[in-house]
Amino acid sequence: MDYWAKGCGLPRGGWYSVGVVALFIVLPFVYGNHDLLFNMMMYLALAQGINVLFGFTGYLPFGYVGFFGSGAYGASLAVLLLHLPPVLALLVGAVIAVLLALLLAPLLRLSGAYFAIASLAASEVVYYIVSNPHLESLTQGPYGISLARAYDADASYAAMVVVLALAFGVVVYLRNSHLGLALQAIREEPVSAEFAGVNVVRERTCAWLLSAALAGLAGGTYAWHVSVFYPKSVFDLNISVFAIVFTLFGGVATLLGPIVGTLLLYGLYNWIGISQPEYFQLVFGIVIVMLVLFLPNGLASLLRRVNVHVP
Amino acid sequence: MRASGLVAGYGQLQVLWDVDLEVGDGECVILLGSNGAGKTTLLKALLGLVALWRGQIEFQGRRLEGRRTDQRVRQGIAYMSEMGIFPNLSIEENLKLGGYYLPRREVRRRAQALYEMFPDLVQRRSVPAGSLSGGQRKMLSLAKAFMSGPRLLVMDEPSAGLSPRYVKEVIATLKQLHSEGLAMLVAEQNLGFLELAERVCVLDAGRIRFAGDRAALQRDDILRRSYFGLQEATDAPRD
Repeated sequence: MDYWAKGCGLPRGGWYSVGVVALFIVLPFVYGNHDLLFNMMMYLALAQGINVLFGFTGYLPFGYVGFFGSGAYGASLAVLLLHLPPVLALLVGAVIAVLLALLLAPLLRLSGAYFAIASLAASEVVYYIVSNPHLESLTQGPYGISLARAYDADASYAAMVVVLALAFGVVVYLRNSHLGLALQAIREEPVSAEFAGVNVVRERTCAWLLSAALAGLAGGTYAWHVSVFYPKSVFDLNISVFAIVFTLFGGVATLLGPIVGTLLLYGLYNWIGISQPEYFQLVFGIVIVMLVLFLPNGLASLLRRVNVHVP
Repeated sequence: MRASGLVAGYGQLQVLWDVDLEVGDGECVILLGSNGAGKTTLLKALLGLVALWRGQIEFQGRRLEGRRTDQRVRQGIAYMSEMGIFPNLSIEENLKLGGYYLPRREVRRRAQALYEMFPDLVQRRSVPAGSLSGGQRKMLSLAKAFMSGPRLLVMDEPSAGLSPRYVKEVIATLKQLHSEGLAMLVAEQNLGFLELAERVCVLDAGRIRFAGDRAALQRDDILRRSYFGLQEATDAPRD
């Protein structure tokens, strides 16, 4: 069980990541709906961000969208106010998300439902601050942001490919590193993890910041791609819910689980969710109930039951 | 390790009253006491899981008060308890966590040595620790605690929930580790562990009532009075 898989030169799970990223590089040449591909990559990255936090530490962040939205605004304002090129602005978006995560780090003292609700409340607070009409000169308040001059669909698509690769890289690292093992130990029993010499506060905060950075990058790239957006669209709770359900559906603390969950459920959403949203809500609701009742550990647990290793 | 004047408790409830305790290099000290005597609280206070109200703890010449649990562990104190393993992680992952802060190569070397010492674990190294029997879990917990190469092994009731056969196995393993120079502090109710002890402390109602060697303990009737509670029984008038 070494960090480096024998003979193939990549850590375990690395080839799956390379395969999925390569797929999204090739697909635009054979499939015309680039927005669908972009959104799928965005949810794949967000699902892996949720995976980093929930899968490895057990904290379920319903307010995860707060990092996404702050990344979107951070990157956009860096373009509008600082006149940075979009690629650099994405990094600013990630930094803003990380700063927000640092500010909210005391929430990690909570656990379970308390943490989930508190993180949701925190993201609502950020939303109301950003959309406040009195801050129009800075955030343009509720009137939204236009990045029309920076719009570049191909470049933002490429940026999302990089963000996706980064998200996979983080999870592959955690799946194969001592840090990932320590985080799983913290998820199971923080006190016992301390007995093993794990600095629980530091490692947990590390996962929290990594997760926030991924959401910030995804948010900034999304803002660049759509180029016109409103606070409501980047602080939409559905973004959190989708990413969480996709992750849980596939199986947390694995690389493959969130990938499978996102591809299946976001595929389903695009199949029936846009043309017949009422049926999608019904099917989505049934899927969630079935998941909780029969597969609480996601699809990955089906493979584990037959002793198949899930990367 | 030298602890002196330890006072600790939970909220308003004081559990430890001016406790002094010493474990020398390579020494095995058994901490006896009935349920509620404060044994677990004392161990937790030594490891930083219960805040000290007053007192000093010194280990290898360094003061430990105010240090986090993981820092104390990194200084060479290992703790083995009922909750010491991670049931959803594999045996191998549990052992890796035992040597969390050691270089990867060292972890591999020590795990190999421990597999030789605990052959039951080798065959099942990739199965979740939660699937092990109570005795095997205890062995894993011990192996995990030993992974970091501690100078002092602190154990909270290693015999709890074990059949007599497994208790013998645990004692034999501890005897082997102790013979290699490992210092141990064992909180126990099972008197079988006394055979390991160079010194014995009896804790009663949060106070050390006795501290000395085994022979002195046998001469003293402290066990009858504060541990077995036999004083009342023998003093009671017969019908």
